[in-house]
Amino acid sequence: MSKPLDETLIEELRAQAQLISFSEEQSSRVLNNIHNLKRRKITMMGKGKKILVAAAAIFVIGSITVYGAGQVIGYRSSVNIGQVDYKNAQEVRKAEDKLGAIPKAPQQFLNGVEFESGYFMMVDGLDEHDNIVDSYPEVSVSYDQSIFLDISPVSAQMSDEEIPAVSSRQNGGISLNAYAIDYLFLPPEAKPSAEDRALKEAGKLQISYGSTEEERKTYRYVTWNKDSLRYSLATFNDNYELEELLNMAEEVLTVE
Amino acid sequence: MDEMMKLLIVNMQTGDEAAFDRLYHTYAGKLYRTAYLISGNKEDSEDILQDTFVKCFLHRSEIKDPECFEKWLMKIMVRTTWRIIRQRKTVSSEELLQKEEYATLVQAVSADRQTPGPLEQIMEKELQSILMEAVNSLDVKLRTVIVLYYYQELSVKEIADLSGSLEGTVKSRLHTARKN
Repeated sequence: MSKPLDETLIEELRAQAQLISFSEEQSSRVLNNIHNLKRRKITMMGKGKKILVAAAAIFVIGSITVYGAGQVIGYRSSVNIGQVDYKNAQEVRKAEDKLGAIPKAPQQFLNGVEFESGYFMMVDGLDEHDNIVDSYPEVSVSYDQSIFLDISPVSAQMSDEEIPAVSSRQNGGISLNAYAIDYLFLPPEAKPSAEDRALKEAGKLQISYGSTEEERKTYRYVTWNKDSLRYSLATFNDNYELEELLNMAEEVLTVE
Repeated sequence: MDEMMKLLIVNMQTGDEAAFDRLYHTYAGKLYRTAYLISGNKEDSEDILQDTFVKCFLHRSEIKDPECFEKWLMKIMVRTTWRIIRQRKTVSSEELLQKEEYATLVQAVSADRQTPGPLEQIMEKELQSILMEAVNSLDVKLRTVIVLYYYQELSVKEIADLSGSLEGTVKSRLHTARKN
C-alpha cells in the first residue's frame, strides 16, 4: 500500500535537501560577501547622496564659470547604518519637527518592495575648499536594500530642474520628473579610458572615484515637491526602469 | 535554545562581529537549503542568504527575545526569497523545471532510490518523482508553504506569522498545493 502523501512529501524534501551541497568554501564566500555588502551599503548610501548633488553641481558648473568664496559646490552627508532611526513607515512621520512638514513614506509598494530602514541625517553643503557653508536636514528611507526615498525641505535643496528630465508626469498638480545618469566608479588611483573621458566631456557619463573596483551603473531617480518637502526616489538597481520608479513615486503621493 | 546561543545573539546585537559570524555558521546551511528548495536556483539561494544576513545585521536591535531569533531569521529569508524571485522573474514552473541543475537534483534523488523490488515499490518511486515535479512546478507562495510545513516542520500558525499571512490563507495554500 502507498505511503500517505504527507509522509512521502517529508521524505522527498529531506532527500532533496540532503543533496543540496553547501560547502565550506561556498559558505565562506557568502560570509565574505555579507561583510562586503555591509560596508558597500554604507558607501552606496554616501554615493547616492553625492551623486544627486554631483548631477546638480554639473549643471551649475556648466552655467556658472566663476565661484565666489563660500559658494556651495557640493554636498556631503553620512549616516551610521547600524543605528536605524525609523523602523517603519509610520515612524518616519516623527521627522516632522526636523523637516517642518510631515514626511510620507509607504510601508510597501504595490510591486512588493518593502520598507527596510529609515535614517535622519544632516546634509552639509561644501565650498570649493571643502568648508561647510550650508547644512540641511534630510530623512533617507531604504527599501529592500535597493531603492532610496530621500525627503528634505524644498527651500534647502539645490534645484536640479535644469538637468533635462528623461520622462515626466503630472499627478494632481504635482510634477514628477525622472532622470537617468550613467556612472563609472573607479578605484582612487585608476585612470578612465579615452573613450570614457570623451563620454564624460560630452556630459554622457559621470566618473566617481573611491570604489574598490571598476563598476558601471545607471543611477535612476524621480523627484517631486509636495507640502514644502522635496522627495527623491532613487536606485542603482537595473530591475527598476524609470516608468516603474514613476509608478512608485505616484504611490508615495497617495500616502495619507 | 542553549545559553551559549542566547549569549551569541545578545553579543551580535551589540555589534560583535565574531558572534555574528558564529550565528551565520550555525544557520547558513539550513537557510541556504530552505531557500534552494523554494527558489530552485543556486545563485538565487546564495543571494537570499547574503541579503538575509545583511538584514539581520541592519535590524539586529529589533530582536527582543533571543528565543525567537531563528523564526525571525526565517521570516527575513522567506520575504527575501519572494523579492529576489520576483525581481529575477525566475518563478514560472516551466522555467524552474528547465533549470538543469535542479532537474539533475530531482533525478539524483530518484536514481538514488531505484532499487529493484516489487511492482508496488517501483510505482511508489514513480509517484515520488511525479510528486516532486508537482511541488517544483507550484507557484512560489504555495511552494514556500509546502517547504516550511513539510521540510521545516513549522505549524500553520508559525508559517502564517513568518509569511505575513492569515492562518486561513496558509491552510488554503496548503490545501491548494496538495490538490495540485
